[in-house]
Amino acid sequence: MSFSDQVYQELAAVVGERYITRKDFILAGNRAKTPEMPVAHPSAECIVCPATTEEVAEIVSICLRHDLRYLACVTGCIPSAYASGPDTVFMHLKRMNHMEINVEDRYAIIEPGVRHVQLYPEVRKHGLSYAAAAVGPGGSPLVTYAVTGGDNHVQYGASRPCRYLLGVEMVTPEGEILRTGSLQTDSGWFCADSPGPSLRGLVRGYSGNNGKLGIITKCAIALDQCKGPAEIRREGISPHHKMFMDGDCSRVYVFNYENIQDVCDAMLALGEAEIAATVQKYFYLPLTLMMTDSANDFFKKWEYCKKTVPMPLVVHIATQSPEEREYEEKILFDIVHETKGTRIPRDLEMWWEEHMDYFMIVTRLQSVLRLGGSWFPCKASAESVQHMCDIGESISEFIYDFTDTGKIFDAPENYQIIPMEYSHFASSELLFMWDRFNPDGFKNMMEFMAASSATDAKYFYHGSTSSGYGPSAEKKGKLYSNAHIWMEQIQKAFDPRA
Amino acid sequence: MADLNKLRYTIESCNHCGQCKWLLPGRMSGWDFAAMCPIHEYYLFDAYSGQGMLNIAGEILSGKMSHHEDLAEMLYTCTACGACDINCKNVRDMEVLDTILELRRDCAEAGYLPEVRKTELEKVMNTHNIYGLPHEQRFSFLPEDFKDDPEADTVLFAGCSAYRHPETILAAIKILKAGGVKFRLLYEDEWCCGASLWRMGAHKEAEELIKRNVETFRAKGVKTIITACAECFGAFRGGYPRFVETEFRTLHITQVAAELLQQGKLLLRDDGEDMTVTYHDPCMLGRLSEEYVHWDGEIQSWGVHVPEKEWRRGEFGVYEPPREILRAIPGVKLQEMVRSYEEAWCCGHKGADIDGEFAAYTAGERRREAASVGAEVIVSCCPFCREALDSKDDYNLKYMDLTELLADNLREEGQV
Amino acid sequence: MLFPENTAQVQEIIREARKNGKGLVPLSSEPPHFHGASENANAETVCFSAMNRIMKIDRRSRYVRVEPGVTFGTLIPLLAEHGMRLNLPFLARAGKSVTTSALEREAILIPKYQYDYPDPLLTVETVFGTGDVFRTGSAAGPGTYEQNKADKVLPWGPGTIDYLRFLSAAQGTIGFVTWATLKTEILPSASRLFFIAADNVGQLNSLANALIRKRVPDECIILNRENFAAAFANDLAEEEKLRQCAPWVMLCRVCGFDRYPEERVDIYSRYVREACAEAGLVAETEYPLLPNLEERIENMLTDCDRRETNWKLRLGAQKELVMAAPPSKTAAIAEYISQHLPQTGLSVQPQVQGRAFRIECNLRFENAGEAEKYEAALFELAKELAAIGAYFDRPYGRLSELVYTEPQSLDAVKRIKKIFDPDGILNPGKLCF
Repeated sequence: MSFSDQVYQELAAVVGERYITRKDFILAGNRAKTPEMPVAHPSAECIVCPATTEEVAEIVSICLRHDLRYLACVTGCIPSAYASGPDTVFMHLKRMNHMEINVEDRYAIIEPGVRHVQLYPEVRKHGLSYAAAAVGPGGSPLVTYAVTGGDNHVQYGASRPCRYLLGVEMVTPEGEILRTGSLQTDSGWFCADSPGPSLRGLVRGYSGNNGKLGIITKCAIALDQCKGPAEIRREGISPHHKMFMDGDCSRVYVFNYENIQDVCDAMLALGEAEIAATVQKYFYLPLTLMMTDSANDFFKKWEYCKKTVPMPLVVHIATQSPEEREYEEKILFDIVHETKGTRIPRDLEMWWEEHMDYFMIVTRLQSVLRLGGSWFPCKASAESVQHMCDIGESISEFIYDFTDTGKIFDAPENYQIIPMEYSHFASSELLFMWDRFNPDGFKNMMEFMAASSATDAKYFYHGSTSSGYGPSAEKKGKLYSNAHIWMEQIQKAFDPRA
Repeated sequence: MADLNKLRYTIESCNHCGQCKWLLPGRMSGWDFAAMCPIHEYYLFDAYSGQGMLNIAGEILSGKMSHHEDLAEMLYTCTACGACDINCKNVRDMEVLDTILELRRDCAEAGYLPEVRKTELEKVMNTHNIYGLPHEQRFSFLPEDFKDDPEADTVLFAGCSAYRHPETILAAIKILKAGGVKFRLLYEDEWCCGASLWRMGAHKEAEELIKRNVETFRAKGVKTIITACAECFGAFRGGYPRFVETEFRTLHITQVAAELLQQGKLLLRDDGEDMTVTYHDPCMLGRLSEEYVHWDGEIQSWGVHVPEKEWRRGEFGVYEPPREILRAIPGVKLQEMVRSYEEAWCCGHKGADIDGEFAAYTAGERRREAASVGAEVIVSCCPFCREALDSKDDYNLKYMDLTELLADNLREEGQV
Repeated sequence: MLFPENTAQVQEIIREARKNGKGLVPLSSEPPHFHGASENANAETVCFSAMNRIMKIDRRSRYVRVEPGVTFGTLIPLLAEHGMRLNLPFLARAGKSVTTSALEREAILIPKYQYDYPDPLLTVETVFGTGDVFRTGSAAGPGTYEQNKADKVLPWGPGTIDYLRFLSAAQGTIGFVTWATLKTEILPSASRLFFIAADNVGQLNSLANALIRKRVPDECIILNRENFAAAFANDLAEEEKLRQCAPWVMLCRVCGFDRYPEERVDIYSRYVREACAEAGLVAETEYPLLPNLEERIENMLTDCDRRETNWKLRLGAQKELVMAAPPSKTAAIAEYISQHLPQTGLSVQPQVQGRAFRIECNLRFENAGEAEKYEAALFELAKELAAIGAYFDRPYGRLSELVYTEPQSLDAVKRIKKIFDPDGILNPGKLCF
């Protein structure tokens, strides 16, 4: 069935005329081609802004009744936030922006429209914190925690968002409201898991399922004690504003390494000693971009950064007392000495001390878009620190064919490895740029991704995860315990139109 | 003719990261007051935002969409406050506001300038002021015994708002005289600065007016222009160089006054009443007041600009002088709002004649924010912000113009 | 009873059961069995005691991989040889299956190491009720178990589904686990155990919350007088002496590792004392109710219970009720139980970084014939506790009646069961199946 005036009227009756539109110039705001994609997205038939879970459920039911596609979106920063075909009802969830913080039980209940720039400071007022994913201030914490991925800068002393996702409320593809975790028995939001088999398993695995098994309309996320001083001092005007964590309990040290196996040793030793709040082997292309004022400025600094911080190990120490800080520093320097690390120039190291928002809300990372906006991540995976470092080492096997020929812009050591849970695991990501001015740019990107996957397949490295649906999932799923078959069965069981 | 093509790089670079809509983390303070784009916050749909208007510009550029009245209404409801632009430029090399302005120019040239803007244009062209009032009355507020210094190379540019708010110009005159600054007025030779024409996309008329004004300044030997109007200030700094080469210096009265205070040339009364004030940064005095530097070059792969471009990112707007003045006035306690400096929430004035409800919402938001920090008075120094923010509501909040507040607090014996 | 020795045999057993419609009940631990395993006339028991290989101990990446027949009694000393330890349940039975304990979300003693409810369980291999073998998380692939070069420690996925959670606390109704990877931690080089006494549980509850959120304690548990005496005494006479303790006692151990361990212990000890002082409590390092009691307790917190008679059964029989609660509701729940069943033993254990507590209520009695009476009393109590916020996420026996009531989630759970065990042969009659 196709979208009609009748459907429009039914939807308008749910949300009210003010919160629905089918004006073409307004639809244009949610169909544009973004620079990392080769083609524009199909236009939605209408955009509707529900305010409650019940309204979302009603909209889904209307779409089911009329056999229309639908999708729900908050920020629109990823390709799945766009219509994939004709007759699509586009739900914008920005009106669903309520939040509630339970200080004693250390969780926040959030709706999709709440943004990091709203939640983070509210949480911090209570001496609490959470791992804000590297998506910028306007990103939705709910999306990060429940719908997509969520690697973050502070996961060494914490973990990935999937560990912090508690009770979840969602609208199933059948238009029903489903609650998981302790919510399922009306016992509040605090516990992630339902009595077995836990329905939390449906919500997300390594990453979320981008709404495929339901639209998540509310969730609780667990909060951690804030590490380091609560007071954040700010200086300056954008784009050169600075944020400091003053006091005797917070220090940032950055070390350079010759090879990744030494970094690996350092990360594991730090984790065993259970010191430091943040540890990361950062990628220097985004790092250089974060330190620059423009694309031109980037190319002035690129060679310097490549030479000076080819393999930087960033360590943020944040303790409860100066005495503990000194204790941690002593161990840190011992480990760095043993693993052959060298401190980078202080002027460069100061960048972190002056930009502590890097550790709080991961701002400025959008500056990776500065080189034209066409980027892509690969090796986006997680496993043991050792395994991730081995994968990082394997990148040099295939990357030169692409960088030396200008097919992509990158460098072999430009991958990040961020340990989690005091180095029990780590996530990795190789972030590269492709040239959208080059007619073959997208093709080059795809070829590079294929080469990356081929290396993982050759060594049986867990360098990417089995995800998604359709033919690519089928191809990959066979390698992953036939995950594609189970995923398809689950989807069929919960989505009448799968 | 409008040329969106020259902004193609910006138009095609947007990744929908959302930074044009939300406060930068440097000033984050909580759930409330985190939004930055008034039209996006009010109308909700993404098209109503910097990102959305880039997308629309893209469809206009590709011929997929044409201008029409509804679109025009949306383009001109946007206050062009530039918050999106400054936020985007925190991390990107894009010209979001310039694209919006070019889109308006394209819209105007396509014949879809909204009626209220057409009327405004006609008024400026016919009477040299935005209100359509008789030109000969432009300086009728001056006291009979007023004397300026006809030989001075510094001009106090009164601006059209002097028709409605002459007290601000009289206050500026008092300050300048107290500080011993030699200045002159242009009287009948002063015409509208042209800010509204440039920003509505009436480029031909704006160019004509601006060239005429610059010629007048040259003919009068003007080296420095002082203005008490943020709109005029922003136009002289960020608008004029787009049309003509300018060699004169522009100062806002707050810059002049702050320097006079620092030099001890202004003495202040110490019997003023205690009050908690908050300062509202006008867009055209703050983030949009950086000097425009023309760039004409090529954008190559990876976004490299050849030759290198000098960016206006809002960093060097006039932020501190107004605050220095407020801190200097005895009894005044300055309390900052969350959205301040380059991250100020717009007063909403420019959208008022297109959608009054939107404008009232935007101004109301600002007053709510001011009240939330405990302010009794909201102070600013832009006649249009004044009209938006000086209203009666539940917040028990007075509006004061900074120039007038300072002038009222000058000690008579302090005058040089 | 069937005794498979490897995954292929488990597959064979399940395929056979599908053919003949016979149910299968998994059993991994040695007796006594408190609630996990029960007789089922229509089902055969699959005992995993013969699958007791320790497949891998990895000191570098800190994990161990074991088959379900591996018990705490075997594994703890072996890990210690590698300088490692498990995040143990409180006084786990020596014959208890390590895998089952983790699968059943048993309360652990060191909340700072627990980031999520299934911890310390990382990945598993399972045979679903379809007879298919599946590996969870990064153990899924790429390739076969042998080919996959990953350490197989990442719990999530594969992909966008968390299969491990379908198995967690599912009492074997979705799949039989044939091996499990568990997180291990570094064995401390120095430690100090604190006894913190209080008149009410609320004080200790708040103290635990304050300390754990700063990652200060390693082992941390709150016991009421009854459970303190029962757990640490070796006989009834000692129990009497230990009943001289305060109404509530929190045990809190701080540790140092390989580098400057004593310094860490001193710094963290100061944090414990400061937090206690702030709460009007005192952290003692000595608790002289019995000779060398301190050493005995520290040893018992870091090992399984190797005594011949399980402490819960010292009187003859016991019934227990296990629940979870958020910090804000824990004290009220514990107090409610104390008021309504004053003779009951209570263990209150902070979990998942201190953001939740497990409350275990142990009702010991002499006459095993009265078990039904006590079970009924606990069931009634459970209904009342649910009303004040107790969360029964491990519903054994009749408790499942309280839990699987919401139609939408019940329907969802049944759809999952249908996918992975379409014939309903795995542990029939358990939970809501």
